[in-house]
Amino acid sequence: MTFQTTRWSLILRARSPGSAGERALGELLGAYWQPVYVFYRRLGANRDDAADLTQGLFTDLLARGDLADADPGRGRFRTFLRTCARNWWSNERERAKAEKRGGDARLLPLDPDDAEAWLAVQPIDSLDAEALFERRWACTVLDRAVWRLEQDELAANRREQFAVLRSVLDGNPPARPWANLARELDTTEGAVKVAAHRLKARFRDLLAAEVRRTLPDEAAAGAELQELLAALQKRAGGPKPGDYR
Amino acid sequence: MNPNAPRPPDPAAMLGHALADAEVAQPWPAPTIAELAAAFPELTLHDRVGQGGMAAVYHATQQRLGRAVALKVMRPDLAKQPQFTERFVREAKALATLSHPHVLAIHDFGERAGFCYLVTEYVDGANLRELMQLGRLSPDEVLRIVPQICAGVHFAHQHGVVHRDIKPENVLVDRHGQVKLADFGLAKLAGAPGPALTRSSVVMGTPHYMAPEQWHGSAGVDHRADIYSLGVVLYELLTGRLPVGTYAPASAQPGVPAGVDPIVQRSLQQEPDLRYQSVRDVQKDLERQRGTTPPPIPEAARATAGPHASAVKLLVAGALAPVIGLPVLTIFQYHEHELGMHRFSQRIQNQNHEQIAEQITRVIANGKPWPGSAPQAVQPLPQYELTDKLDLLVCFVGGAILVTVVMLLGAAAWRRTRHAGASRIQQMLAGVLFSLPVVGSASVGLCGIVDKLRTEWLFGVLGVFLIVANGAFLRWLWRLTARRLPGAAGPLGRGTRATLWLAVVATLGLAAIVVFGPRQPAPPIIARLPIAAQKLVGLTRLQLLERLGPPHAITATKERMTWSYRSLDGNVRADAVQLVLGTVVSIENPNLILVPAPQPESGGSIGQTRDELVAARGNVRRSQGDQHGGEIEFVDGTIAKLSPDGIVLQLGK
Repeated sequence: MTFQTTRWSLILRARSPGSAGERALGELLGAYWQPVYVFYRRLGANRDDAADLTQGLFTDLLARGDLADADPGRGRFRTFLRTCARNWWSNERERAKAEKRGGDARLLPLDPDDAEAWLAVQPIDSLDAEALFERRWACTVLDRAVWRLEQDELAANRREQFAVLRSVLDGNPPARPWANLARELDTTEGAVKVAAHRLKARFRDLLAAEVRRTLPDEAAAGAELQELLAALQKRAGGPKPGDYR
Repeated sequence: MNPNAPRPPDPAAMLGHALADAEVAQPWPAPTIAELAAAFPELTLHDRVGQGGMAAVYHATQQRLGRAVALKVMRPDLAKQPQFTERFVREAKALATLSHPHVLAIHDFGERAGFCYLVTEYVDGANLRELMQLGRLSPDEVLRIVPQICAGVHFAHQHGVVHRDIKPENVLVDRHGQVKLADFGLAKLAGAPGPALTRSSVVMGTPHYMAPEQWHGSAGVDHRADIYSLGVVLYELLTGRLPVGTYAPASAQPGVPAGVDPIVQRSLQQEPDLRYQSVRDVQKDLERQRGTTPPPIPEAARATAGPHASAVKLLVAGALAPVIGLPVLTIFQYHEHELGMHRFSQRIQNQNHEQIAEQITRVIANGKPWPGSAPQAVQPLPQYELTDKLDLLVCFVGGAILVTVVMLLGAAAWRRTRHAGASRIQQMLAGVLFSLPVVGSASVGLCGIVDKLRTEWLFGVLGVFLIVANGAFLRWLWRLTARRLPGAAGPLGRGTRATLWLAVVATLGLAAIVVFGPRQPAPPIIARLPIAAQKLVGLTRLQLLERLGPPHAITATKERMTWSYRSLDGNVRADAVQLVLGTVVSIENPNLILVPAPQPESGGSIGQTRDELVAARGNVRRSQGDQHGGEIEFVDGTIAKLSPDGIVLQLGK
């Protein structure tokens, strides 16, 4: 039930290099590397290059120490990372390519398989790199909230119940009637429904908490979630790859 | 770090759903956690779990005891008004006197730093309203939950506390399904002198759940108001609707025992004296009903709900249809009788004619007279009977389909309106209304196709039009009803839709059989046989010869010829047929059957023209008279007498 305290707002405030702020940034980057990876893949990098570019960008960000000077506009972590990723692609690519075979220590154990599997089912042709970044970001937020919810439920010894009730998170009714679920879980229908309601409420909280970690101002979680929803619902359009504004 | 959870099938749906469920904007700014943390240092505040019109509730932990509690904080601007503070303190007092498993326990209350607050036990669960949003509770579960509420309310009543605001929002259910009654916000201490605010005609409570006497703000509100509210909650839990106006009985819902209806009715009496007088009685009656709820539908059957269940229903209805379809079959028969008589009589007449013609042919060949009296050309129509197998099939299958569709549509309308909470009469009306257009269109339309399309295509088209028009009418009616009964809104069920399509396809197939199926061939023999004299008028001489053969004899005047023929009974009719200018103008008796003369001596030449005769016999020895009339003598001595216009009248040696 513990919330991670890593927060973008804290990182922005942390000024000293090599401090807890740097470690926190490392954690956040570790959590949100997939959007950057698919961003580079969409721009045309192959699997290895995209991983190397991501690693290179993250190394650079962590080495900078004071983000406040470097970050464009002290905005949300999402827009910050997206802008950095784009700049890195434009400016540092050649240099990074020249240097990358040097055998830098890998900062993060990136496993592109997950990201590749995700990419395989996306309508890539109708989305530009930025849109794909946003989409993957929204999915990552959801994944992390679900994962935390699952951890909570496992910790509370409700593994079976979670497996049965998970579908209510999508807004779907459970596959079987409530009364049958109650019998399976050896409890009452009211209790099962309470559990479902609590699960949904907890999921909402976890979503908001996850999003708040990436915001400079924690009050704007609702607006950020709406933007993520819009990113998920986006089907086509947007600028073509290459004509970055 | 990377969460390895399986990805949701549709992240957009998941996020959208989570956001849709998020709390709506609150009417007043609740105190922030930080503000409260300063005022309540002994509590660790986690988050706000709810906010109503008057108070906000926070989840907190009492540090000293390490127990989870709920902190309820009154709306600060209201807390400044004296009567609200008074009410709040009274709530606390009312709650503090109660310790019962089904009543939310109070730990502490008071006023601190401008906050009126209440510390209660924390229920890790949801309220009934939230549970209802996940779908209606099963009747069994309702009958498990409501008696628990009753127990809590009864306990409060025993201690002189009337809740006065029982509603789903105030009934909490924890993770074990245990019920806790919360929010005695409007409770009145019955023993204490009524505070000013209750007599100031201030209406308190939530309108739908309030007893009528509460509406009027009367001072005489007692524990029986809670019984009314309980009745409303009970009804809403069972049906998903509020008992407003003339509400449908709760037992109209599947699985709700009929015994619940009187309990609801008695709780909802307008007059407190007519209601239950004690919550304990409500509880007892409900518990008695609990054992009688039918067992829930087994999973296997439930899993097949939808198209499969519809198919089963269709089969059952199909099996029943022939039985119930008999009256419909009669209607079909009637139509056949009325509209199809012409076709049938024609066919049977033709059959008769062929038989007669055969006999006549035989008689003629034998050269014998017709035995007995002459047959009538027009037979009396035979009695109608269903002998045609195809027509029988069409009638029967058509009737079966019709009845099936009517039953299914009626049932669908019944189900829909019942879910919408309509009364039984409304349900019946809907069932009849929905099935009537089908009965009308199918019987008229199908009969139109069956009976008329072969002969009169216009009627067939009319039949098709009727069916289509009535389909459109049905659709309109369906939508109209859906608008009038909001609960019935929405498209047709999949099963009903499939049934309708099936009916349409079957009807079209049936029509195709009728139109393109085997037909009775037209009898060609009738036209060629010498049947009725009446058919001869208007024929030319040649046609007459062709139809009846040479006459027995011909007598001629200047402008008129009289041909004599034998009738079927063997008599020679001297003036059977009269010709003027080579055309039959009149006949002796229209009902006579005329037959050709036997071939013999005349050689079939009578009635021929002079040229034809000469061409046939040749070798003219002598010709007398003008070009046409007179006599011709042939070489063999045969003498032919000719009429003035050159027709052979007699032939002899």
